[in-house]
Amino acid sequence: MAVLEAYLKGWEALMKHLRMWGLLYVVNLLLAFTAVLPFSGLLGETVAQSLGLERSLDGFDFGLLGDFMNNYGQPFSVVLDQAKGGVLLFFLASLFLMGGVLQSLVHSTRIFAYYDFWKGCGQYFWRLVRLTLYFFIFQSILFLCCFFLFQMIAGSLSPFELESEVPVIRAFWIVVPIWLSISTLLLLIQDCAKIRMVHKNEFWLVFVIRDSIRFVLSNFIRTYFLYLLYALTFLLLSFLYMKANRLFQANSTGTIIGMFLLGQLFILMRVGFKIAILGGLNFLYKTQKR
Amino acid sequence: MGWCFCAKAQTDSILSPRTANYDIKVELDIAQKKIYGQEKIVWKNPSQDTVKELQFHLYHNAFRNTESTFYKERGFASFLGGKQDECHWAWQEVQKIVDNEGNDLTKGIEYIHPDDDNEEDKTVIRVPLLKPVLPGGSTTVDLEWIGKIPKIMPRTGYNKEYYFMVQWFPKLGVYEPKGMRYAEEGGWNCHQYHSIGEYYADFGVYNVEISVPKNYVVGASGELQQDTIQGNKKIYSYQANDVIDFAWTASPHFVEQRRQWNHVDIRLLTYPVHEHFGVRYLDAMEYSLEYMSKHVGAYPYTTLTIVDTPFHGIFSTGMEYPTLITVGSVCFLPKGVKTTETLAVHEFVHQYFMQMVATHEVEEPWMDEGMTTYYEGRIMDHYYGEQTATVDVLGFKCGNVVFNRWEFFGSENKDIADGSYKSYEFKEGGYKETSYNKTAIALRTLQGLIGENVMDTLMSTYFDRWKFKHPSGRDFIEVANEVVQKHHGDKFGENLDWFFDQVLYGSDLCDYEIESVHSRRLTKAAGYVDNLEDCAPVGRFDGDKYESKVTVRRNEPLHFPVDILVVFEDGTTVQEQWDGKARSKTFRYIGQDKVIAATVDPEQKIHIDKNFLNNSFTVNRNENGVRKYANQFLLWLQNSMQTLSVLI
Repeated sequence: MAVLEAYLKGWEALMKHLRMWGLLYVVNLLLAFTAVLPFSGLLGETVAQSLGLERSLDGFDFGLLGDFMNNYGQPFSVVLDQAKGGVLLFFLASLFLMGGVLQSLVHSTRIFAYYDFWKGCGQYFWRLVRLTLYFFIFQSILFLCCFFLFQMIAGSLSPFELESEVPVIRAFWIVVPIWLSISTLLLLIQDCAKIRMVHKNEFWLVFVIRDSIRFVLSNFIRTYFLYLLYALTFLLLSFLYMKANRLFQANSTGTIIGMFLLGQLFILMRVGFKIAILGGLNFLYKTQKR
Repeated sequence: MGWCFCAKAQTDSILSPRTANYDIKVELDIAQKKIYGQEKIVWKNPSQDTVKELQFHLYHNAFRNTESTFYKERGFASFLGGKQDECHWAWQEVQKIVDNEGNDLTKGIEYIHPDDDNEEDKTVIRVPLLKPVLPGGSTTVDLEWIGKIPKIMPRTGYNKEYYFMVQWFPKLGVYEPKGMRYAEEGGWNCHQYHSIGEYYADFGVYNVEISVPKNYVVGASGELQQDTIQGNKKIYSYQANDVIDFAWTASPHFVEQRRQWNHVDIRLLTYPVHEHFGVRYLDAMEYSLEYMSKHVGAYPYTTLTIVDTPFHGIFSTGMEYPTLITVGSVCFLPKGVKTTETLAVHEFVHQYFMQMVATHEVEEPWMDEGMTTYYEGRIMDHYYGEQTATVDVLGFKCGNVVFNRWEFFGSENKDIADGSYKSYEFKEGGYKETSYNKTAIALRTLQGLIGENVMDTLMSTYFDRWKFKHPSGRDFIEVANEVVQKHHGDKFGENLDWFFDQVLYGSDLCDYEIESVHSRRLTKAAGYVDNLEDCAPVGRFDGDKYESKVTVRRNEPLHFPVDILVVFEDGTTVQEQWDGKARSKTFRYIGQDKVIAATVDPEQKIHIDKNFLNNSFTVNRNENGVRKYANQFLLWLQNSMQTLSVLI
């Protein structure tokens, strides 16, 4: 019951912070636009007056894609570089904004206030940078360990030494669930560490991480189950999005607008998910033993 | 005593000149990884020359050491350095060779290097004859030889309990009489084994007895005559008539699936984990047999063996030998990824182009690989869909022909070489792009120009005229000129040399573009027009007439005759023709309606055009198209951003 309550509290926290939710979404959209506008310009310059583009509206056309990449791949790679820059910028922006999100969720008892939000952004930025770096290292170590485990179970990755590809497939099905489970656990600990860091305003992250591990382990079923519940909701939402997406054949202004709105709704939900997860964990943190 | 699986004897009629005929007995020693062979060769002199020597390939000597031409060109494969306790290398030694009068010719054996000065290369020998072979005469020689089998070498060798034996016996080169292909004088054509490039051999009858451990299953070229068990050994006797080579494979793990297609017994050998691919392979074979028989010519052999190589045998995957091909797949491959079928179809088509029409794979690789790739595209797209023949997974779709075109134009080496290169002359790359992709695209372009029916006539005439012979590129072009002239007269000029010189023997590219479409309302003449008194002002409209101009541009050196489809505002169309030679051409129209769109090569006949996107131009910008892809890009980017931020 505590898990279900925390799950709902997460969504409640999201609803209490609609402006924060909107702000995060707008940042995502604006930074994406910095690369989409040149892409749109490139399409306009190169293929907007080709009948090939018109034909491609009726469905996926590899010929068109291939010709575009082979003939306009160079300018497109510039746009892609810009997109990479946008993703990196968004990552930094998210790091900055995360402090505000945590501050608002953890300390705010009233509805969303910009003052608290911006204060949190500045106050926790460097600590969040360090925390992210530490967990990135943990995730990398986990990945390497899983890779070695994969190699060990498969026997070898050289086809010349294997009797068949079956051991490789078997190793994949054994290792990937292990990797996903532990990786999710690390993400859970990282989220708890962020909440604890803001609750206690702790500077030394080693203690924060240590205590978060303790918290997660002592409330393992609740915390992990809560995380899984959010993950399942996300999977369900993604499935529904994909189903709905197939209803549109993007070949007219109306259907293209429909696809755009549907896509943005999905992105909005993805942004909201992060806030809801932190809200739910924050509720668990406050109510469970630490 | 075993059984003879095919009631019908292999075709009784003699299909080929049967120039080089082999009776071979070979014993596989799995402990020593060696083969011991005895071979009787009857060779007929096809020329008017007196031939004083024989030349043989000893292909497995390419894997003798790092000094062979093969390894000097290829470099040492990193995977061979792995286990120091195993020797991967191989050799092939002729122990004894005697002629039909009992003269021992062994002492005369000499290694020669017709392609380079590499004294260490031992892949070709010459054997002087004590009794020369007179014009039209024949000679018989008996050989005894031993071969150490290579481990995991390109195309051949063993790994674990899998053996794939190709180019495994001392094999005669081809004696080319004066006038055959490019021969200015009669002589042996016997290339060393190179890193890139395959084989060339004469037709003949092969009677082969293969002795293997009795638990081994064997697959081989030709028809199984009988199998007998002798102690721990099982002896398989095969006969292959009118073929240029003989290959075999053995493993205790092979499982067999069969299907009958008309007179052809299709036999599939796989390891148990790949059994479920059986239907896919066998369907692909049926389709290929059906298509090639209908469009090119009959498959005369009664057997076809498909070997799905095990994972540890991938070094031998994707090869073609008379009535035996190798294919490959991996268990987890989804049904929508059709590399399994593609490979099977490709290797099967080789039964026509270089098994029956026995072109020189080393000197003119485009003639086998290019023609095969061309038919691979036709067969795959016909049976598996023009949009789905290569991939059809999760909404991502791609046909075979379109994939081949994308692969070629996306490659860095597309204009590095031309079809006149021998396979080992592609030193800076471009072998695959030129021999496979570009030739297929060129043939597709030819099909576009002359029409599919005439193309079919061309290819079936070529096949019919040159099957069981050794044509050159020139011979193919001669057939093309003849057939096209017959069906189209002088429509494409005196002959098609202009076409082949550009697409096969040139490395330039092709790109036609509709540069602009402009329309303006017509105005009357200004100034003193009707008399010297009244000055007509500028800008008087001449009724509701418009002048429209469509400019077509050739951006690259290659030129072809092209059609231009012009669309007017009221929906009417005009089809123009242009020889495509000038840099650009402008078409002018005057009428009530403006031109709203134009397309050069609207049916996409000129497959070698590198950019179909600029082939058309519409005056109304397609904003929806731009919005659709911009929206998809936006969503992809937003999702990427959101995914990465999970790490925070």
